[in-house]
This record gives sequence, structure tokens and C-alpha cells, in this order.
Amino acid sequence: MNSHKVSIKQLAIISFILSVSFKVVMLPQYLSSYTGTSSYVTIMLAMGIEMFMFALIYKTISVNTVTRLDLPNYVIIPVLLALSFSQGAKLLTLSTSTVSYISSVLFDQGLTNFIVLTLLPVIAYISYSGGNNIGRIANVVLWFIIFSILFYVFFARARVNFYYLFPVLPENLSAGAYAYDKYIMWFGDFTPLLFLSISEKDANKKGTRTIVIAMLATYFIAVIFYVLFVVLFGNAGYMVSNAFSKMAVYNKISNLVGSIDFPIVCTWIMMAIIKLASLFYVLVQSFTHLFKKRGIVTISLTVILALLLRYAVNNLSAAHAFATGAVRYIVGGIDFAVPIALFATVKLRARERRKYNEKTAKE
Amino acid sequence: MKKLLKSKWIIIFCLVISLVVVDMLVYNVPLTGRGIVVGIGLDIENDSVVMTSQLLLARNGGVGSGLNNYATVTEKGETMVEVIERTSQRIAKTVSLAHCKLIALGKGVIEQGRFDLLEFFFRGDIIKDNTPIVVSNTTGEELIKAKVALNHISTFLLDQILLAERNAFGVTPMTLKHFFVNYATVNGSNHLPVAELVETEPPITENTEQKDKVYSIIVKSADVMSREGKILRLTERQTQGLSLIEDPPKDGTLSVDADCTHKAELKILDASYSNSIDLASRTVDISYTIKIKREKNMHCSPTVIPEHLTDNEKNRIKGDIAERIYDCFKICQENNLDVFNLYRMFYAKYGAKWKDLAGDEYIRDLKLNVSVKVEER
Repeated sequence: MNSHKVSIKQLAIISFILSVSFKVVMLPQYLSSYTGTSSYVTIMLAMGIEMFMFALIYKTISVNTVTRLDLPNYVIIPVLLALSFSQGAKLLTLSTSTVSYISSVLFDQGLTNFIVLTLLPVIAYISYSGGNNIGRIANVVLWFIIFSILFYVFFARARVNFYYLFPVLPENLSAGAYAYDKYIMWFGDFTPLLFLSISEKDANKKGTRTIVIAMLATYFIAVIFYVLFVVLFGNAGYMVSNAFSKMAVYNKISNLVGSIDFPIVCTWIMMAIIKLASLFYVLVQSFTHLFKKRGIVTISLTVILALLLRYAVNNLSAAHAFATGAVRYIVGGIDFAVPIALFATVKLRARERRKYNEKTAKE
Repeated sequence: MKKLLKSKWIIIFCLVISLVVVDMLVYNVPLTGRGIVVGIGLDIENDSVVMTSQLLLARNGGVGSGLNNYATVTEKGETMVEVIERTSQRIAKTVSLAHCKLIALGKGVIEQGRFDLLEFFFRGDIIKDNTPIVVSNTTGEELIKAKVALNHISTFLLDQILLAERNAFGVTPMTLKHFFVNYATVNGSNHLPVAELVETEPPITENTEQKDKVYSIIVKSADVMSREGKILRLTERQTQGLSLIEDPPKDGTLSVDADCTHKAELKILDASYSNSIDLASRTVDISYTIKIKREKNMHCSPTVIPEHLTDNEKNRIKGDIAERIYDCFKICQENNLDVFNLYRMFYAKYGAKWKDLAGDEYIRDLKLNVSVKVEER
């Protein structure tokens, strides 16, 4: 209970879920509205940046979790506050998306308040119970993800047009950059990993190999998803909300199961819960570091989030406006600057320690 | 507090609360309280939307009890939301479109370019994107309400016809998703299968005398349309030409004038094509390959059955296939309809260069060459 240590396999699965889960729902539509059929190129480049960020974060947490890095309080406290702000903003946006997704896809008249009431205790409890429990849940969810992908591959049937993938180099490169900037909240997904650390028995070369393979899989699965999205929907991508569930209906048994492919929808909800729990975990870890009382911190944060979801960002349009407003610059800045700064600090510290050790050894 | 939070009981408590709350959050409508829509017809009447819903009214006992009823309800309103709500009020049940098998459009919807009605379904989640769409030769309402022979309701009969057409050499079915993929192209040309109601003899039953008019539904041609609603009805051969390119057949029959007998039937096993384009001459070359098998009825005399198709016969097939494709292209070209989405082929290869060169009526300058290869099995 309450441990931040995860195995390398768990880390790999969490990373996959963090990166992919929300890039396959609303983001394809958002990106398509700016980049058209070049959305997959934008994702190829953006995922490259994501992989770079993951490498930095992985190196950092190989030393220790962020709250236990050998850093003075005047450094660590602003870092924790900054990360809490950025991950809190994402949590708010993505929770609203999740609630909207569940209410529109699964229910005729889903009452969002009740969905919030159902979702929040689950997310809060998972976060409260620690990073290792997020890892364990991710381990279980992996089989659902594999099952859903196989289900889709075996039963898929759709008319596609590969011409939509060309020319590869978009006519208007700035549109991709603009879309990336506008939807930066949907990137920088690996930041919550800073609050985990790798268990000692896994911190070896074999572990690194596993993580490299997992990251390559994450990269290619995200890109392949966007390629499929483009060849399926072409220029109509901007009209497709909930891409993940929309794409799932193109199978041979859709006439039997109706408009929802439950394996896909259920898997996505599980992935979304892990993602939201990871974001919430950042808040719980940060504020527990500051105020110590983990139980009270968790309950307080849950209440605050519930109130925000009820009164502030309570529908998809509000979430979109919030996520694409000025706050995105702060969130984006934190998501990219903090991991880089932490990585540099850890490296610098390690070098100083090595020099000190060498000096002491000489003396 | 800490001990309680660590306990397994907290998980059980959370689960129980979640399940109770989940049950509360669903506006729990029993199946018998739902009007499951199996097909809808859409028409436009004085700018208002007319939606005809064919509903399955489930009863306790389900299909096995044989108690399920079908009802057809027509409602009028200004928007889609309004007509759906009115339908719900009229039948005093919650309308559910998740199992809708067909959308039948009246001609007026297309003529007035009212594709916003379909966009409502495509953008939302209430209906699946691979729901087939057809255009009625009269109105959507008439098609949905039509009493058809063989004890079918029209929606199920049309669903079966379109299912059979999916791989066959005939009409390419159109789904909601594919319609909007075409709609969002530069030219915006689209096509829909046309469902024609033809009055037919009522079925012979033991104890009832059929008084109502009974129809059969024929789907053998397609309407091609622009985004603005200009419609062009293709002939049966042109429709087959469209189908050859849009969805190369994996099934169906093709007839040919045989050398030693009259028309002979050939079974289509597979078809595919590749193409090359040239910007300078604005030419599209399509190389079509069709794999066929002779049916057993192709014989020269009661005892002589030729082993292979002769070169003459193969040439006739090649000419026939090429002609169907070309005829379809030609008639669409004359109407500035890029039904094969050739724009995208050029754009994929030449990018911005093509975009600069292609005007609004680029299709009129394009030339199409079709070469066909026949493989006999």
C-alpha cells in the first residue's frame, strides 16, 4: 500500500495507457479540423517529442521518485506545486471528456452528475492506494487491451482509401504546429511517471530493453491508429467525435451488437480510469508531501474536483475552451520544462557526487 | 481513519456505492418501454423534416413468444431532435436508434441538399456509422411504410437486399460513414443506391384475402449527386461501372455472348484494379483485373463443353467491363461529378502542384483509359 515503486512491466503498461488513452478519443477530431488528412503526420512528430520526454523521465525515475530526489525543499516544493497545477488542469479537462464520453456513448440520458459521483471515488481510491496499485491495475487491464485489439483485427471490415495518406509532407506545415500548440494539453503525457520509481530488482539492462520495446509499441500503435483514422474517414475526420468507439463499429458483427462495440468501450473506460487516477495521484503525492495527511488530502482533492466538475468545467465545450485557452501555455510549459530541469539536476547532482567521491578516494 | 482506508471493506463499499449510483444514473427504461427503431425514412416537406420510423415494439417474452409488433410512425418537425422527441411522445416510449438498419431518403432531401439531416446522425452517437442509406424513387415515408411480399417489413427486406449486394456485381451499398467521406471531398460527389417500389402480386395465403397493395423492392441503379443536391440517375450498366471501381466485386455473375451459343453466364470470383495518372496529359489509366469461372451452362452442344474461354470471348468481356466503367465516368464527367474521387489520386501524387492547376471543373479535363485483364479459373 502507498508505494511508488512499480515493476518495469507495470511502468511500460502505464506509460502506454498514459500516452494513448486520450489521444484516441477527441484528439483525432480536434487535430483533423486543423490538419485535415495530415493529422497522422502531426502525431508522428508529436509522438517523437513524447518519446524524448519519456526518455528523460525514465532516466530521472531510475534514480528515485520526484518527492524523494535529493533536492532541497526550496526546489522541490515549487516543482510539486507546478506539477500539481499542470496535472490538475489536465485532470479537469480529461475528466470532463470522460464523463461526456460515457454519458453520450453508453446512455440514452446519462446524468453527468451521477457519472461524476461514480467515477471520482474509484479514481481517488486508486490514487490514494499508491503508484504500485496503479501498476497492478494496469497489469490486469493489459489483457483487455490485447483482447480488444485482437477483436478489432480479426473482425474488422471497412472501406478504406490509402490515397488520403499522401502526400506525406503536409502542404501547410504550420497547421500541424498550430494544432499541436492548441491541443498541447493532450501531450506531455508522461509527467505523472515522475511520481513513480522503478523497483530495484528491475533496474537493469533487461529492464531498459523491455521499456524500449514498450515505447516503440506505444509510438507505432498511436501512429497506426491515426493512419487508420485517416484512411477510414478521409477529409471527414473533423466530424468524427469519439474516434475510438466510432472506429470500432467497422466490424463483421456490428449488425448483431448495434452501435456500440462493448469490448472497445469497456477497455477504453478502464484505460481512462488509470490515466485519470495517475493524474490524481500526482496531486495526492504532491499535497501529501506538503501536508502529510494522505487520507484528508485525498478526500479534500476529491471534493474540490467534484465541485469543479459540477460548477466550473461541467461540459465538453467548457473543457475545450479551458484546455485551449491561455492556461495551456502554463500547462505545456510545466509539462516540458519540469522534466527537463529535473533530469538536468539529477545528472548534475550525480556528476558532483562522482567528482566528490573521486576526490575523497584520492585523498 | 488510516486503518479504514487501508481495509478491503473500503473497496467493497466503493463498489456497492458505485453500482447503486450507476443504477441510478441510467434512466432505466425496460426493453418493453423502448421503441427500437429498425428503419427510418426522411423527407422534406415545406422546409420541415418528416421522419418515418419503423419501430419494433418489444413485448414481454421476446422474439420467442412471437409477440413483437412493428409499428410505423411519421412525425414532422423543424429539426431532427424535434422529430425524434415527437416520435417518443407519440409512442410513449423512448426512441432508440442503436439498432437502426436503414435510412431511406426521399428524393426531396437530396434535391434540396439537406444532408444536414444525415450529419446529425454522423456527428452523434445515437446511430451506428455503418448504417446503410438508400434513396427512394418516391419518398422515404412510402418506402418505409410499404407492405412488401414474403411477410417482411420493408426495412428488413432492404437490409437483406443490400447485404446480398455488398460483394456482388451490381449496386454498391452506401453507409452513413462512407457518405460523409465522399461528402467531404473537394468535389463532394456522392452516390446512393436507389430503392424502387414495384407493385406485385400479393402472396398466396391459406385463409386471408390480401386486399392491400403489395410491393417488391428493386435495387439495381444508383443516384449520383453533388453536395448541392444535383441528382443524376445512372443506368443499370453505369451503376455496375461505378460498383466495379468503388467496391470491386467478389461475387456475382457476368454474361457474355459466347462463340458457340447464346448468352453464357460467368461467375465473378474476384476483381481488383491499379491505376496510374499523368498530370501533363491529365490522364488516368486504370488496369482492371477480373477473375471469373465459367458456369456449367456454357456449352456448345449437349455434349461439347468448351474448356476455356476463347480470345474473342475474353475480348468481349474486356470491352464490356471497360465500357461500363467508362460510361459511368463519362456521364458523371459531363455533370461535373467526380464520382471516382480522381482529385485525390492527383493530389496524392502531385500535391500542391495539382491543387494550383485544378480548377472547379477539373473533372471535365480528365481522360480515362481502362484496360482489362480477364483471368479464368
